[in-house]
Amino acid sequence: MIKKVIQNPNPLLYKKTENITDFKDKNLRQLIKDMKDTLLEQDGLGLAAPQIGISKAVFVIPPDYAPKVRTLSIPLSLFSPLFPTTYINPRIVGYLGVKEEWEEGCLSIRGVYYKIRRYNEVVLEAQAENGKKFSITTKGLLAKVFQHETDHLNGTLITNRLHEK
Amino acid sequence: MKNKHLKIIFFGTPEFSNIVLQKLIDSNYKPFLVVTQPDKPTGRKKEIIPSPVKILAQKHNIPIIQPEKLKNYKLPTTNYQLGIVAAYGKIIPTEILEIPKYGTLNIHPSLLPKYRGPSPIQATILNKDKKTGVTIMKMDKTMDHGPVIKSKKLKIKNEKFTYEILGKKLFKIGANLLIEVLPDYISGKIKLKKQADRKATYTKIIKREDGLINWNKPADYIERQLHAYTPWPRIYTFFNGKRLKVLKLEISEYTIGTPGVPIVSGQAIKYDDGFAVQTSNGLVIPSIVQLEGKNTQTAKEFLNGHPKIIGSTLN
Repeated sequence: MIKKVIQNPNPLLYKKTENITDFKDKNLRQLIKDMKDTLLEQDGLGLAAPQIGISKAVFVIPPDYAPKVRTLSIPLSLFSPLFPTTYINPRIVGYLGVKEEWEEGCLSIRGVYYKIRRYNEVVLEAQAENGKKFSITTKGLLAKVFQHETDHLNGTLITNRLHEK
Repeated sequence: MKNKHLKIIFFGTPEFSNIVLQKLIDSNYKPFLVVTQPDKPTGRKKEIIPSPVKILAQKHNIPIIQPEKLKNYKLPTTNYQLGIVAAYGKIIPTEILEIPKYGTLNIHPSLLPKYRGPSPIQATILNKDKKTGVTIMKMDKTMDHGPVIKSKKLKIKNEKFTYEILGKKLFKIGANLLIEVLPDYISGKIKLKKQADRKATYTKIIKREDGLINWNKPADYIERQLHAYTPWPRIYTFFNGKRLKVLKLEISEYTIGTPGVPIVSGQAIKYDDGFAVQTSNGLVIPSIVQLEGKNTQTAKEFLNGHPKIIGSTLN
């Protein structure tokens, strides 16, 4: 179901989210589905759970931007790479490359783009919908999406990053 | 995160177009719709092959449309801000060019107003130009006439470019240039320059007959003709009334003849284990040939089957 995207300055956007522990929870399924529906309708590049009012550590990206990854559990996964669009309990574990400035907008801050400095390459660890752990090293646009969305889960908005070097 | 992209429609068909499409995708200007030519039977086996652009668009989940003709065609949406054209190969009517707010831009592989029309790359090679380039222009109702957004030169020193290599190079430069100018163009910071129409020159649609070799031309011209017209239409001559394609050749600046006997352009002579053909200046030494209806052969293999070529005149 398409949900309303909550707007700044709603305090939920500034709260650190809780990790997911029960991957069999029906509410989690529903949350992911709602997030995907809302992201599609909004034509966004990424959406974090707090943006639809749920303070959980989940974000989604559009399917056509999904990277190819292999899970950490070998060897079966070698044969079936994932194209994850759902990222649960994500953590950026490495910043690579250099910071570069670019213009970034947020679905919770309507109509404004800010110049933000972001690393152009990161390593992200997360869990898939079934709880499987995986890790991704990615560059460019997707690296920036990952930084933006993990910021959301930590209660940070782009307005908090405005004057960073 | 908000998707900041402009809504872009991309028009393109061959491998050259893919250079631009790929660059747009990599640079956060991914088009939401791609227009490409219908799948066509290609090659000797007439297999139905999708255009390279179609394959790339499918890989990136971009919707595709393949209208036979754009005249009177209704695009699935008129809600987009920019059109980008790279080697689409069909006429786009003015009504469609003018739909998006920022117009429709074309990447043209020459320094406009030089070489307007459909075969600028071939013209550059045939004319042995020392300089060419690529132009990003805003399309209007007259072909290749619209104002220039930016152009970039490419110097040609002694490289013997083939059509495919020069085309790739120019579209690569064009794709980078496009990404470089797009932000300023969109924000209105770029002043468009009207073309100097008086200086305009035109290229024509290449026909199969353009591949016919004129042996009264110098050998280096025939070599450039091969470079310009590969992979299509390729170059050919006639031997015994049958079409003989020359797929690969070398040239020599020396003309070999018998003292006292005049040299006849088009005459084949024995050369190494194959043959060479006299021109107005120098020799053309074919290495791979193909006789009408037959498979490709080396010059040596061809000579084994057709020893009578030596001494005969090709035309």
